[in-house]
Amino acid sequence: MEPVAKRRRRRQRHRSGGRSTSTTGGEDRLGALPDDLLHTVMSFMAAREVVRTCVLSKRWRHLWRSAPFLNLDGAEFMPLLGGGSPGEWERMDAFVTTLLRLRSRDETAVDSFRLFVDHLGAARQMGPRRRRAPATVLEINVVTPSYPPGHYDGYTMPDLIITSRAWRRLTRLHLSHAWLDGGFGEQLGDGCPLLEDLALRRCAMAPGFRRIRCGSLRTLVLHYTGCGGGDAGGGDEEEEEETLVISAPRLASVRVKITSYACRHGVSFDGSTADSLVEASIRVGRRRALPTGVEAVLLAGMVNVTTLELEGIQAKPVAKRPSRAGGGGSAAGDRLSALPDGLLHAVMSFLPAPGKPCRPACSPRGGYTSGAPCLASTSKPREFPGSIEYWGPNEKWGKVLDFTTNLLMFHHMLPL
Amino acid sequence: MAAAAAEATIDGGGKMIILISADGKRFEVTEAVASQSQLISNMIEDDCTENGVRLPNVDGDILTMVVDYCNMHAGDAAADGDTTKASSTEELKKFDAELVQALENPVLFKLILAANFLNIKSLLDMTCQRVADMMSGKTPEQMRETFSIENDFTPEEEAAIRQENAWAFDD
Repeated sequence: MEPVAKRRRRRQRHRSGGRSTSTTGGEDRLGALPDDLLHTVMSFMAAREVVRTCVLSKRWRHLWRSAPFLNLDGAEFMPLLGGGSPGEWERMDAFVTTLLRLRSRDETAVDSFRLFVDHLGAARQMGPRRRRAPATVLEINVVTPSYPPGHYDGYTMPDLIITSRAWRRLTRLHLSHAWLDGGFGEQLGDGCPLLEDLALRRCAMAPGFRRIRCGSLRTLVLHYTGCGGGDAGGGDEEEEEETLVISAPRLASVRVKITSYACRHGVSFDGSTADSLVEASIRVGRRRALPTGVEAVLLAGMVNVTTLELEGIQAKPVAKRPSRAGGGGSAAGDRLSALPDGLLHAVMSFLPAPGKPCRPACSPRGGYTSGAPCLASTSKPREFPGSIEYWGPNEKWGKVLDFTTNLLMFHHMLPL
Repeated sequence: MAAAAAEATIDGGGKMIILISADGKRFEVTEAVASQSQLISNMIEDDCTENGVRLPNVDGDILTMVVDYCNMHAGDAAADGDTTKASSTEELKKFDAELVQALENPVLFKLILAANFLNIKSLLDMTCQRVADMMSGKTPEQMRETFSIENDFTPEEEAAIRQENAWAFDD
């Protein structure tokens, strides 16, 4: 008697399928989540683990292919400390290449999937507000522990991100320890026209890497530590002394950190960022590492100047636009004090760190009253963003004022 | 439930809003607490919280957890710059960790769905992270066991899939 009843019950449960309303612990509640929530779960997992979920059940078979986030984490393949063996690096490379190739190829499949989510998943589970088209890949995050053996340039990303149409919906790209070839930054805007958030940490740039151009970019983190082409061959490229130009008309926030002479000719913003940029932090590390006089960091984009170069403390706007303005010099004093704090801080952040600290940088406007009297009138207590640690010596103040005067002249003569 | 409501009144600050769970339980919270839910925040903006907010997808016991979470995190979102801030972030961390650790299978998923429905991003991320942590480092068999996932592949099919994705399975 009993076994029959049991069997019947089992059969009944089987017939009702996964939709049984029983609240026993044996229910697959994870699989019952809508795809976008499973993708959120996947966003906290490393890429290889995500791919491996394909064998769980039919529900999971293809989910990984449409996950909007990719976390390519080197720690999945090798110990984070001490780097990996050549074999481990090879395995990681093979994995990343295959994954990116497959995800690039899957574009059509993912598009049809989008319809499903929009019409069923989104409407049923989330209400109208969150209904937005899921993308192929929205976020790529690559972290590798260090440089692969024998490759001081860093891990070379398979050249798929920029060239394949599949990545056109990418909104966030974070790379660390990657080797970027010369065309990377130049093609970024075309390859990823929706990219908003770019972080290049400890990436090595090939000698041809001269520009980051991206029309949609909102935030940028740029952290230079290594010199493209290896330090032995560094001398060869000296004849081409160019700055890295950032061209991003929607850029709102930027953080640049330079800790060696990888970026020996500076970073500059072309005029396109002038209207949008509201937040900037530029840090130049140990001066010792820089060849004399080349700590040029240009921040012209903040004030509508097309290109502004500052070498050392010497204010030297590159005269791409002939000075046809009238209202320069004399008015500059007033205009200077009228500048917002952020801009003054940016100006001050170009002060080099010559050997020893002269004055602590805790109270900027109050701090330089002696050197720059015109600033005293507007002194407002405001915390310093902390992008520099040291002040330059007093005698350099004249040059700072030179620079700001020039800067303001440019500012003045360009139509807003 | 009563405790949660009382706590909310002590917190003070702004209008009170009544949340009504699927099983008819009522929770009184401040606007600041409730508006951590983007869904409710939008409703407040649209002025349609007068008669209480009915949440037909959320059970009372789950809503209790959500309200507790929002009460804890209300100050966090408001960023008042309190002097007790440092200790309270510590407390918050502890609270979150305890909450998340205590979550077991059915409740965890109900909470995920509630956070998703109410659109509370931090809670959603936290709970999804918990699931991801429960999956990480496990073999497929262990994952199936943890989450009662029925393997509906035939052995041949599973072998074929592994073969197809061998690039992700070689160790």
